[in-house]
This record gives sequence, structure tokens and C-alpha cells, in this order.
Amino acid sequence: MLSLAELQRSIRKTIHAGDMVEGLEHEIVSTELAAAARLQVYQNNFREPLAQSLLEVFPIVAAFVGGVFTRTALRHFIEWEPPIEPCLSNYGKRLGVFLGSYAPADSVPYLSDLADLEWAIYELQHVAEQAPADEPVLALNKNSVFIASKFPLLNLWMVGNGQLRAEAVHIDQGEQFVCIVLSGMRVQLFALSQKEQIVVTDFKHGKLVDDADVIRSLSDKGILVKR
Amino acid sequence: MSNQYIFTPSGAAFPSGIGLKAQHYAEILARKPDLAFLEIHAENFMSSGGAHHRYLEQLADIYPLSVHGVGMSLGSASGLSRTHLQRFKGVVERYSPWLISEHLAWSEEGGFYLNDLLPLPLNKESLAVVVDNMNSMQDYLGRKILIENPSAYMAFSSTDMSETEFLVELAEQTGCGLLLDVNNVFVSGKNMGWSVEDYLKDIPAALIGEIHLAGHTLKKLEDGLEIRIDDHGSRVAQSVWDLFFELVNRVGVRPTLIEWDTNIPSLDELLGEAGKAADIMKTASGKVGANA
Repeated sequence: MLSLAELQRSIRKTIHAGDMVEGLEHEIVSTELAAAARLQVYQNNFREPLAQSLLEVFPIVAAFVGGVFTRTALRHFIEWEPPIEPCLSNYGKRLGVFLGSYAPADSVPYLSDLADLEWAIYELQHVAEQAPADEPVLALNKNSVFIASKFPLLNLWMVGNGQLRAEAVHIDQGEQFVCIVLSGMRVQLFALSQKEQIVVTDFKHGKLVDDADVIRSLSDKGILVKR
Repeated sequence: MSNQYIFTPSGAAFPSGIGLKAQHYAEILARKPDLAFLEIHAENFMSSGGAHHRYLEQLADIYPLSVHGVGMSLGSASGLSRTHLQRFKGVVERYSPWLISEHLAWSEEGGFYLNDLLPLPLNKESLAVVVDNMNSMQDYLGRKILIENPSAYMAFSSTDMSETEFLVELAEQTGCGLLLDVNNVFVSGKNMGWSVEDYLKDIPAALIGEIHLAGHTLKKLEDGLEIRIDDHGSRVAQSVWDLFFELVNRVGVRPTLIEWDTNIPSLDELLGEAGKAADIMKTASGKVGANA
């Protein structure tokens, strides 16, 4: 007879791996319905709601590669990195990292960046917005995320949600430096110019910046805020 | 710490409520339907901000709230996660709910979270674990908790207590109350082959602080066997309504919640189910009155 801790370890390993851990079968009461069939319910209960909740966070990834591909990829992602905490609002952050080295997605090289972008949107939709300060010192908005993509990332995202027609976008259109920012209770997305990108980088490194036009542009977008 | 389990929202003689879903936030705010309370899953409100909180702050001004946890893992042999307790307390302090509840289940092991409510063997060892964890949770929150009976698809050879004996013993040792999920009793009883009616009769009325009702699915397996899955994705089954009637008839009116977490229906359909629960409380408790 296993201790409670041993029993829970065996069940957790079985749910994660799919195959029943040796010795567990004797711990589970089997009537007409065998232990494996009973455990299968918990295996399904673990994977399917997780995959469904991730699909809701990454609709544009799914729009680009289709539901079947996405569900398979998500199943592999869940095996690669199962949740470690009950607060699942943090789960899915590393889907982009996973897709970056997921061989079946090799022909869709921008998928990883799209996942990062969608995660940034989701994450910023769930944080408290900082109130503007009276101090006239400008700083990068803490609720902003920057993605330097080798692809026209924002354009691709807009194709995925129908804001641009697919014919208008080609992946050879080049890189985009995309900012996702929470400002005025709205999450907004911008493809920044090269000058804006340089100023953002300078702010990140604490350098003094005196390009008034670019500072005004970034302030208007809510990317630079008074702190 | 208050010893009151049984709450009655003011003005609600037959207190039925619904599980709050994001799809219904705006409509509930606009229509303000006649509901005794709303129930939220604590884990959905552990972020610092966003639209969910903005809506809930408005709704909490209109309706009493019940905070229902799904991830505390009260049955974990390794104890409770301090981080999760802190986050849970954050939700409780932010919204000051009327009720707080969790499950007789486990979901964390070895630093992993299983995203499901897994059953325990019911014996002295597991009782000691749950008692310790329940005491930790109640002490940390400074509140009494209602514990919900789980739906189960398997049992263990090391079990030597019935679930009702386990729950009553747990309540005696920790002072917690019981959230009696009638659908879970039905699903587990049918899946495990024990008497649903006996289970309900064995629960002392004084322990029941809330009742849950939900839909489930009957799944046919390849070999002709059946299993009932507690998926909260349909209307409450007639058999469960019948059990609810008998229960209210025996124990009296209790705050009763309709849970519907998958295949989310229209608000009207959900309100219809809550209305049925209220009507059954009326007739089963013999408190029927009408205007001509």
C-alpha cells in the first residue's frame, strides 16, 4: 500500500506521461470499469481544458496554422512544460519559445513571434494600469512590451484578425519592431520606426535623449509616460 | 473567526445564484437580474487588474459574492502553497465575499499543478492531511471555509471511510462547513456504485452552508459501459433536481448555485435554471404564496 504522498506522485506521473506508473493499478478499485479507463478521465480533464484555455489566448496563432495543428502543438507544449501553479493566468508565457524550436512549425518561422505578441496582449489585459505621476520625468511605460521581429509581425497579426487582407502582406516585407502597450485602459499595438526604436533602446539603457519629435510621438502613443 | 456557515442574503427568501462568467458581465450589469448572489472562481481574479476586475468591482456593489477556489489542493500530502494562499487572500480582501469555499481534492504534487480536482483515498492518513491543510487555510484567511464534495471517477483500495464520514469528521475537527454539490453526489454515486440517497441522508443538515447544482454528461464507452462526466456544460439533470427537492425538503432552504462552466449558455437560460432552483426551494420548503 502506497503512502498518500507516493500515491499522489504516481498519479501525477501517470497523468503527465499517459502510461500508468507501475504499482498504481493495485491502488485503484476496478469494477467493470478498469483502473486505466478511470485514470483516462483525469488525463483528459487535465489536457483538454488547458489546451482550450490556451487556444483562447492564442487565436491568431490558430488562425495561421489551423485548429488541428494548433491543438497538436498545444498538446506537445503541455507535455513540454506542464503547469506549475494553480493560477493559470501565467500559463502559456513560453509558448513562443516552444514554437521557436518546434520542428513541425519550421515552415511558419514567424509563429513564435506571433505567440509572443499574443501573450503580451493577454498579459497586459490583466495588469493594473499605473496612474500618471505629476513628476515631469519621462520613462518607458512599465506596461509595455517590445518585440523585435525579423518579420512584419504587426502586419501578420492584423491579417490574422481580419484587419488587413492577406494579399497586402508578405513575410519578405522585412522586420518590424512592435510595441504592445497598456494605456488609457486599452491595449494598443504599434510598429515603431527605426528612430523610435533607437530612442526606446536609449531609454532602456538610461541614456539621455534629446530628439523632441520622437519623444512626442512615443508619448502620444503612451509608450513614454511621466514618472 | 465567525462560526456562521449558513448565510442568507438580505431580501432573498429563496437564495439562488449563478456562477459568474465573463460572457455575462455587461448584460448582468445592464439588466440587474433578481439573483441572491454571484459566485466567482478565485483563480480567475488573481491578476492585478484588467477588465475582469473592473466588471467585478461594479457587480460586487450589487450582489453578494461567493469566492470558490479550485486550486488550493487541500488534499496535498505536501501541504499548501504559500504563494497560492497569499493570492487567494488577496481576492478575499479585495472583494470581502459572503462565502468562501474549496474542494475535498488535490491537484498539486512535486511542484506541478494538475488542473483538475483529483480524489483522495479516504482514511485516517488523508483525513489528517486535509485537517492540517484546512486549518492552515482557515487560519490564514481568518474565515470559515465551506468544503465541497468532489465528483469522482475512481476510488482507492486504501479507503476505509465513506465520504460522508470523512466530511463530517473533517467538519468536527476544523469547524468548516459543507458545500454540498448534489450533481457531484449523483455523478460519483453512479460512477462508483454507491447509494446517492443514502449519501444525502447521511449529511447533517447543520453542516450544509451552500448547495451546488450543475449539468453532467453521460459518456458511453466502447465496451458498453457508461461513465458520468461532471462537465458543467448543460442544464441540471432531472434526477439531480429530484434529489435537490428531497434535500431541501429535509434540510430547508440553503444558498444554491447553478454552475455552468463549459458551452456557456445565454444569461436567460442560466437565469432560468436559477429560477427553477428558487421555485423548488419554495415548494420543497412548503413556503408557497401567490398573488391572484
